[in-house]
Amino acid sequence: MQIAGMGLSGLLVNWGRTILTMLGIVIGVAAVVLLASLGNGIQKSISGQINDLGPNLITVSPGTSGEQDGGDNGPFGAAAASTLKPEDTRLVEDLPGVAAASSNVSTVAPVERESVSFSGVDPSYNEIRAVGLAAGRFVEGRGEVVLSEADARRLLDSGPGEAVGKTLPVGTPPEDAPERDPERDPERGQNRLPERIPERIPERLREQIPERLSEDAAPEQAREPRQEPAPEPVRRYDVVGVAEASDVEFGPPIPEASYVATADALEISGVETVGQIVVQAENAGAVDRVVGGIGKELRAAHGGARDFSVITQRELLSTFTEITDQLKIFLAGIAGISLLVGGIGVMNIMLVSVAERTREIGVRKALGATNADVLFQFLLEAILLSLIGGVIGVAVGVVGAAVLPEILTDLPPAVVTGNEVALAFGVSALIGVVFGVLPAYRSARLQPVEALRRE
Amino acid sequence: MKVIEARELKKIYGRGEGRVEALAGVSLDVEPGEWVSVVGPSGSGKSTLMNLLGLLDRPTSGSYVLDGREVSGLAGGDLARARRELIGFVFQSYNLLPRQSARRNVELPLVYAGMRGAERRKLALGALEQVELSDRAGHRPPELSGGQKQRVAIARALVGRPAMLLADEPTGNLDTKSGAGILDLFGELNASGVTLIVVTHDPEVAQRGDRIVDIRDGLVFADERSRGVEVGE
Ligand SMILES: Nc1ncnc2c1ncn2[C@@H]1O[C@H](COP(=O)(O)OP(=O)(O)O)[C@@H](O)[C@H]1O
Ligand SMILES: [Mg+2]
Repeated sequence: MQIAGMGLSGLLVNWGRTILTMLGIVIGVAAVVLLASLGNGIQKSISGQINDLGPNLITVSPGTSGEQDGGDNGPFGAAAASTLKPEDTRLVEDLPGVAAASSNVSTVAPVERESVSFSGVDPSYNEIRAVGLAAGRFVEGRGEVVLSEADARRLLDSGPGEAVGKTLPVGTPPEDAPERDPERDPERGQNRLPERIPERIPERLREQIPERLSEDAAPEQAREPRQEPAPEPVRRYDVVGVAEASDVEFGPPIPEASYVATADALEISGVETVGQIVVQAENAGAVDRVVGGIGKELRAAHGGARDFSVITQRELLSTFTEITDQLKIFLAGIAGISLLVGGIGVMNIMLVSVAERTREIGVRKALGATNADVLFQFLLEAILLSLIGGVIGVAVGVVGAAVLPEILTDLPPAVVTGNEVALAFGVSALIGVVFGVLPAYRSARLQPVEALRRE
Repeated sequence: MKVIEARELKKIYGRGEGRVEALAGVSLDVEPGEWVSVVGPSGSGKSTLMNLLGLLDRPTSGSYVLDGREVSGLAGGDLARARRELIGFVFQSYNLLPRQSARRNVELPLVYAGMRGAERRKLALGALEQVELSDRAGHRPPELSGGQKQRVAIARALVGRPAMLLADEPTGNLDTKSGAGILDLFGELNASGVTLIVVTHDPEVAQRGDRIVDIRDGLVFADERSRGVEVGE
């Protein structure tokens, strides 16, 4: 008891040394807690974002897995390469274990002087990808559009609330074009583009519009009234909703686009294939069955060709988990080095301080202290040092983990777990105790006169 | 019963080339209440002898009976207890803990005796009063003069009521006036019955003792009643 008091007063009396020693522990512990928490936070954020997509999400993309690209490589390019048709979506929808399936067609259309990206999807898309709506409802049929917040502002100069109920003039062929031209090649009739590419379509898109321009200019169609320079074919879409900006950064991206019905998007883009089919299984257990079913049925429907690929959320998750695991190991390495450096600092100060204090040990022994008394005092000092330093270090680490993501807004919130705290604490305590007590033990074994002779 | 009965104490430092026989076989008896002055040239082995008598070091050979008990074989807790119960040691260089107050320095031996705080404080203040330093109890050693430091060290040596006080050149670092004050203090302590063994190279200081033991080359060269006491009697 008396000696315990002395351990405490020893720390207070030599506060300069105490603070220096503690600093090493504080830095080491804080670094471990902070870095480990950041690593946890990043991993949690990534897997959380992937899980947000729904653990039961399955994506069918055109092409084999080597070249599959999620149907997101440009307005026409992907569609041109695609082998998936809207009928495939219906086929998949009817498979056992499937909760919902939606086509996804990316396209670009002129709206007044702007070019706008549209995602053509089925009404069920909203169930699958949970598109957040800032106002209104999701697309339920043709002639409806859900604008992204950015597009609402850009095109209608409206906030989410104001935009709903307005109409959007989208540059497409007139709705009655096919009826007015029954003799046209049926395959093209539905999807034909305006004969003249409107001036306002950007140069980039113009190049991508296929040879249709020249076909349309063919003599046999020369008498068609639409060939004359006419008012631009524009269809007015009803704005039924405004989608929130998506914060999903991983996984099949939810394009920052405005939504229209699949059929409308196909009409705009003038193709018949969809960029992607997104499928939701009824539950996680059904995922494998659905993947198998899609593989079999679609293959049969495509005449035996496996010209599509199927990717599940789980595969995506494991890919990202692998990456974040590596990141965590990297951060743990840095944290370990910090702890080591802090530990070496503590070790140094302890060694120096015991050398300095050998004389003190000699005095105490000359006055009747046993070796156990001396060791107990040093042990207590070391434990107190490590404990206080560890607590401060954990506090600094936890505060840092809370504050750093606030300052560096790209960092996801850190996740502090007991494991790292315990590890950092344990290692620092071990370093403090071992390097506080071992040299003291050596000094305590000296005859008092030998200890007193040390300067 | 004698306080000290030392027989053929030897102390050899090092081996081979570096071997030094600091004590070559010293026998010494000290009666209770005696004041023994130890003199001799530098390097003759005075400090070595004091360290053995103060249980701060082990003899290479020989027997040492302190207060009726053989102590040359003691170790661990028994040795620590013998140090704090039987011996008060005063060093030339004080050996106070520099960051602790005078009072806490004096309390140290009592801490290891397991005494409670309040009682410890009372005894420590009493010892400081005995060395006339009551007004400096809260000061730390760097704030004290050499003479005051040595008084604190003497209070610390006395506080556990040991069987004897050992002092190795206690006035060696002090000016004449402070040194005289310390010797007067020793005189009072000796008069009150404290056994004293004091190393000095000052013949006048040596004359204050009852006996003068002259050490040369690790052996007792002479052991005589001091003239000063004989004159006094
Ligand atoms: N730790 C030691 N190691 C080796 N030799 C020592 C040691 N301590 C003392 N000596 C030697 O022992 C002899 C006696 O020393 P000491 O007792 O200190 O003499 P004094 O106190 O009489 O001046 C000296 O020759 C000294 O060099
Ligand atoms: Mg000496």
